[in-house]
Amino acid sequence: MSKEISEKDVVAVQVIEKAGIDVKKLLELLIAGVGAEFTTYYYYTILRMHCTGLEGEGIKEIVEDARIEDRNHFEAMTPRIYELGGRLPRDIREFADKAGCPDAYLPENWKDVKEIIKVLLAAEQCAIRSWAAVCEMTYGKDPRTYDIAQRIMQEEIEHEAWFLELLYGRPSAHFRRRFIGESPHAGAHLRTTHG
Amino acid sequence: MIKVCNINDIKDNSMILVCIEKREIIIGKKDGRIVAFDPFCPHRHAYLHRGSFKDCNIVCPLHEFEFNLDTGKLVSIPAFYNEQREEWKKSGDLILYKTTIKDNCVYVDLKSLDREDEVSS
Repeated sequence: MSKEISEKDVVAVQVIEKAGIDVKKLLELLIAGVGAEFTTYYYYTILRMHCTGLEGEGIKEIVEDARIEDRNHFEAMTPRIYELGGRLPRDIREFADKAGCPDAYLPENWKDVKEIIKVLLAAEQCAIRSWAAVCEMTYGKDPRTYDIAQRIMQEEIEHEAWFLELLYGRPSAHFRRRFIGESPHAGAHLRTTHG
Repeated sequence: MIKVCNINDIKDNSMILVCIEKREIIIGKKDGRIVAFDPFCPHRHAYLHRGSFKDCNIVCPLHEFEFNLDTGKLVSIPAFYNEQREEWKKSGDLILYKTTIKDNCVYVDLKSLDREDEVSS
């Protein structure tokens, strides 16, 4: 006679708990992380719309790359939340309030493109810190969450480098994407055609 | 009370993350005083051992929110978050643990100082 298995017997969760992961805490971090990606996608839409004039036109597509990749990050990590037994808040307002990063509001003096880039840079830097915390919590204990988080973090690091270059002339060391929303790292965890 | 480490294992004005009975906690030494608290920021759950001490507070590395090490209360939010919604800025209290030093060893009571219902697992 085989052992009776219930819905609560999720081996994929049990193994990471045995490895030392506090799944409840991890889920709080993940929901905050994808909340930040989702709200950033929303705010980047507004910021991109306000990249106007000769200077604005030059960065519009770079903002678009970051905007679509942040949406991809939401898409890449959200399935993991459900695999672990978590869920997104039923109300999107609660979801936004739990976001791991602050709202990337359009600055008052948005006609100065550099002011928009400062907002973009701060958002990327917050995202790096946020995913670094997930990486630290999961390293050596939860390889699946770690892999997704580190891939997202790699793209956030590249976004930060782009905006640092635009703002201060610090070389970013890379080109733009081959196509908008390429997600060269996190793309491996996307289940839909992206871009 | 559970023995955690030797008092000399922690440099002054630094902190370490330790695991006791399957629970992670932070042990810190601030100006010679030993403190113990939950490793996760009550605001957005970032690891606090990557943060820093400032006066009597621990500063979270994620958003620089400051929590008092005597009360666990949120005492300071950076001014650049003034524009953010109040709901986003809300935070619970940092969970603190009682510590005792005996024979140069640090002991921690896993029952938090502010939650009588929380017992060691």
